[in-house]
Amino acid sequence: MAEEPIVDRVRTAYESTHARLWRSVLAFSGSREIADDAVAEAFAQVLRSGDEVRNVEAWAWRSAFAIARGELSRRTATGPVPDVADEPMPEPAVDLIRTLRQLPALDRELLVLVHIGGWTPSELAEITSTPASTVRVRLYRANRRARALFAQGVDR
Amino acid sequence: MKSFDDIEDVPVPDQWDDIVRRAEDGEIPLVSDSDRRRARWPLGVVAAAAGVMTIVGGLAAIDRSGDQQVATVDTSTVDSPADPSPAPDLPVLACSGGELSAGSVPEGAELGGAPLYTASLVQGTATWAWFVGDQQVQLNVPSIPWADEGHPADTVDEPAGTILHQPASTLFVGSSGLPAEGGCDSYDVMVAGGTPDEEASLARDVARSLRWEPVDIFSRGGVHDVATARAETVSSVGGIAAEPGRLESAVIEAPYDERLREVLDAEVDPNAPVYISVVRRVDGGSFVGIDADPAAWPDTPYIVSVVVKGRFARTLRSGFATPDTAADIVGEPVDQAGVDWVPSLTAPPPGPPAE
Repeated sequence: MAEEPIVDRVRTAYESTHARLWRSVLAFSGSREIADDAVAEAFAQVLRSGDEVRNVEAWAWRSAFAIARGELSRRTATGPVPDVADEPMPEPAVDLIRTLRQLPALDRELLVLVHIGGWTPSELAEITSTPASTVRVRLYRANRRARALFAQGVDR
Repeated sequence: MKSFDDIEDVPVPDQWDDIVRRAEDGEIPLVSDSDRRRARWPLGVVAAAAGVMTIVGGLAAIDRSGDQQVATVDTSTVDSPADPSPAPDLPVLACSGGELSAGSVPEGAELGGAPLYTASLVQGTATWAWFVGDQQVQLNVPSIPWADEGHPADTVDEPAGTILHQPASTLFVGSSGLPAEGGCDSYDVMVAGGTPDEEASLARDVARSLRWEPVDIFSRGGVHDVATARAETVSSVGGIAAEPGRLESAVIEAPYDERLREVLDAEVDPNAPVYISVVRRVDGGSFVGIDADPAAWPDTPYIVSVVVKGRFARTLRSGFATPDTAADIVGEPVDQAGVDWVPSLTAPPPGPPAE
């Protein structure tokens, strides 16, 4: 059976995962601009790469977060990241992002991958060739820190 | 109380047209001028750089190598974003914590100097380039992204990492063991010139020569450095005792059992050691506890060990976890002066809580 053209494969992956991916990157980065750029660029890379990409969805997720992480790091190094309050979005989402920002970046990424992205620890372990126990330990610790922050609210 | 579901209320833009436009325009320049110097870099190789070696940052610090050794250096010559040496058109080293030591970079390596190609895709990647004979070497920190697109890849143990055989080059992709926040958690050594075996050999030689600052226990290599330490001999301990100020971290080392399964939701082999970092270094020589709650698994035997430069450990306390012992572990800074260092492998079996 002939393989599906890359445009169709990317479109299919886009429709199935784009919303989750964009919201995950937004929650991680706290910036709509970073989310827009990282996610669009990640999918564009797949299109540019053609049929070399075997798993479009996995590529898009990995690339989008890598780009977002790099951009966040660059912005942090050159000045403060704009406050999320400047972003047009509902107040509860702003509160959530502000809270997540208080967490270490590693925790924040793992949490959004699991709780917004919908990845299971087992899936993440498989993707990264990491023992599932290690992922779960990290997730346990991140969840605990997040719960404490969620419970106490955000200082403004 | 906030919930992750709150993000669901944020409307998601339709980006499809933008994606197609970007793909057609090829907005992101991936290939440097050095392609002219080495014409056998096909675009496919560049495309290979567009994947990502690690899962996104949250997982980037998780060990996947098994038994990586993390060497150590002093921190007196640390690059920082303020370092004026990088070429103006290359990203400044993003290791905000300053973990990447300039002294660790191989002799002859020039930051930003004539790279095989520029890792412009991921902002913050620092690139060193140099020649070893006729072979061109590029070191990227953190690793530039690559994708599994069917090229042969070998997992190697020494140094721990992955060898990726691409059509025009060979990459060694490894973990520095540094926290991802600093931007130095991963690296790759790319070699072009020679046979694939020659390229792989040089890439691994370069990787072995790199030196990284020690690690958080949950960074790559951290846990396994403890394992390595436990296999070391006592004869080396004297050297550690003579080097104060190198206290780095500590772990709770406890046998896994059903209680930990409940707490950690973990799937590990029964009786396999479980390591949980409990301290962070302060003032270079002392440490304080963080994020440790042994009371969460009461009556579980444990050993608290101090890790020195990722290699040796000293048993600090052993016993059965209770709220009181947790307070002992976490509450007070501990001075390492006068410590009687022993490898943790020789630590006494868990006993009653120390008084």
